Amino acid sequence: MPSIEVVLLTGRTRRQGVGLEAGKLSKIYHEATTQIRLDPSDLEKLKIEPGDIVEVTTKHGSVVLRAELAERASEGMGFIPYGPWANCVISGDTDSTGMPTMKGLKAIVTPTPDKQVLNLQELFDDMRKSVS
Amino acid sequence: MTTKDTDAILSTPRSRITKHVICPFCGCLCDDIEVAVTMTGPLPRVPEGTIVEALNACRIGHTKFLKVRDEYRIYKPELRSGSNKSEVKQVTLEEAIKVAAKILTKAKRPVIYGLASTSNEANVKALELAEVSGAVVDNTSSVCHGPGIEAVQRVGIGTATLGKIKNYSDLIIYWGCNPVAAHPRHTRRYSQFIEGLFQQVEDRKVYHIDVRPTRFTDQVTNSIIVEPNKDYELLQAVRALLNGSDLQASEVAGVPVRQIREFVNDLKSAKFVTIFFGLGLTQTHGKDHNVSAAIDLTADLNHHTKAVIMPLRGHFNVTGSNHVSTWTYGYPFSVSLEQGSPYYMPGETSAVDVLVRGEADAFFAIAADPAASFPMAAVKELMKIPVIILDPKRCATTEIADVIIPSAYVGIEADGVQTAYRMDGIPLQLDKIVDAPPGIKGDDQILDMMVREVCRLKGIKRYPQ
Ligand code: SF4
Repeated sequence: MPSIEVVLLTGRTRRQGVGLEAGKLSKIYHEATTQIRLDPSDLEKLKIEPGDIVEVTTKHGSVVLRAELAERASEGMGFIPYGPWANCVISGDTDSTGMPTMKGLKAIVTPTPDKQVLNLQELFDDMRKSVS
Repeated sequence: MTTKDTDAILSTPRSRITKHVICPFCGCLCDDIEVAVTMTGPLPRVPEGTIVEALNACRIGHTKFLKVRDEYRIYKPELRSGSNKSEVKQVTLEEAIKVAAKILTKAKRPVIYGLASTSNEANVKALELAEVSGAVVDNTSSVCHGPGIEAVQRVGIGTATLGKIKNYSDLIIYWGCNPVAAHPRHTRRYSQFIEGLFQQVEDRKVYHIDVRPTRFTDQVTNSIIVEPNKDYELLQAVRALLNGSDLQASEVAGVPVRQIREFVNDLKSAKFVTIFFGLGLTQTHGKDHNVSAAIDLTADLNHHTKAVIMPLRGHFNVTGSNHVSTWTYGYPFSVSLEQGSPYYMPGETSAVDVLVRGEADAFFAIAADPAASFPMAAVKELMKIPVIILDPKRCATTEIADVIIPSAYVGIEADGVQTAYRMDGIPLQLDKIVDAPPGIKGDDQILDMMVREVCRLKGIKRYPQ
């Protein structure tokens, strides 16, 4: 499978904002926060279409997401809306500020057609396994 | 709901409209919302006292008002147990408070966290709870604009009210933010698209400086795309040119020097420059240093023209949580009260750090959802310790919590005086529009009960028992 390296950004989207109030367990929130937005040229390099499943890996962790088209051209960047899924790949180190580094991390994106995007319960169950 | 339904609601005498309602979602605190509440149900299946319309609100604010009573609302306190917290026992508020207070008093390093989506009055009570429990108390600014506050402590800040910016500012910069996504009405109420007393809309110049173009970029007059993690370099390059130095490079941080020169010329020729900045400065490499540089740029600009700077604060009262913490304990967030006196050291006493180092042995989330906003390393730590949450709705944290205490929505349902600070530090009063579900109290009332219970358990004679 072809992989690409991207600069990973996490942040707000309007849909994610609506999802916050529609409910964190709602479908709107799940759909808004389980995606990585990529430039069309990067989707092409990965030989995938919008909606296909990819795994995003940083040195802090990995997460399975849907690849979607970026709002505007942003080759070499991957954008994940804030939420529990984005938090799987960001750093817990705050550089002594209290603030984790949530933008500008290096990440590898790999198509994983055989994997599935987890729902919140499954994501937490996975985390629990590694805790106990 | 269709437009026809909306017309029906607004024209029927059986719905009452409250005007000038403040939207309790983001730091804009828009105060022009018109909320329609059914009185006897003009629509079939809509019970009395239901919010059916929130005119003027953006999509996010509208969703908040209309989703007050949905399937995710919590109506009874819960104690949860089992490996994945699937065993649920509904209890009374008094019972839940007893269990929660016991958890806090037993813990050696409890953390009280959140407080940005609730009132100043609830903040006052939460800080008191931290004091009597000997806890670390942190608000959500530690994972949003905290580094910016650290910068302000270092270099100060020259700022203004949003009203002043609206009336005077002719050059507005949005740096590292996307107001279309996070503060949808900001440009329409306070900056780009609002006619000011002394400033016409068409004469305003608006820059968007960010690492990628977004929908917001389409609506501005100028855009600068900076390489990720290089805002600090760009800010210092702008300062260098502004202060008369030359740049021996063809580009800085991916921006051609020619474009930086044009930007500096625009800055110098403007009458009133405003820099709004977002998490694009605080969550990337450089963090507090990026904001220091942006504030220094604002100070430099004041040698040439008038300039102010303001963070775009997210949760509706995150500014208030900083104010209340500062006026109470002298520090804006990440305060440890374990030693009996306030101690502040972000990186040491901030919620994420205390968790990641494995030091927290109990966690109380108030009007916040740390399980959805903390890095996985911190969420895993939350899964190892008792977690209490006070919130109106189910969220990621309720799924890992041991004690869930439902509360009334501040600014919509909560009784009594409830106030919040807008992002520019203007305090506003949030009024109740509809009744809370039966038995559900406001955060301030519930936290007051918690303080009294902790005092009782610890034998602290602060209140008559
Ligand atoms: S901009 Fe913010 S305060 Fe204004 S209506 Fe939208 S969410 Fe509410």
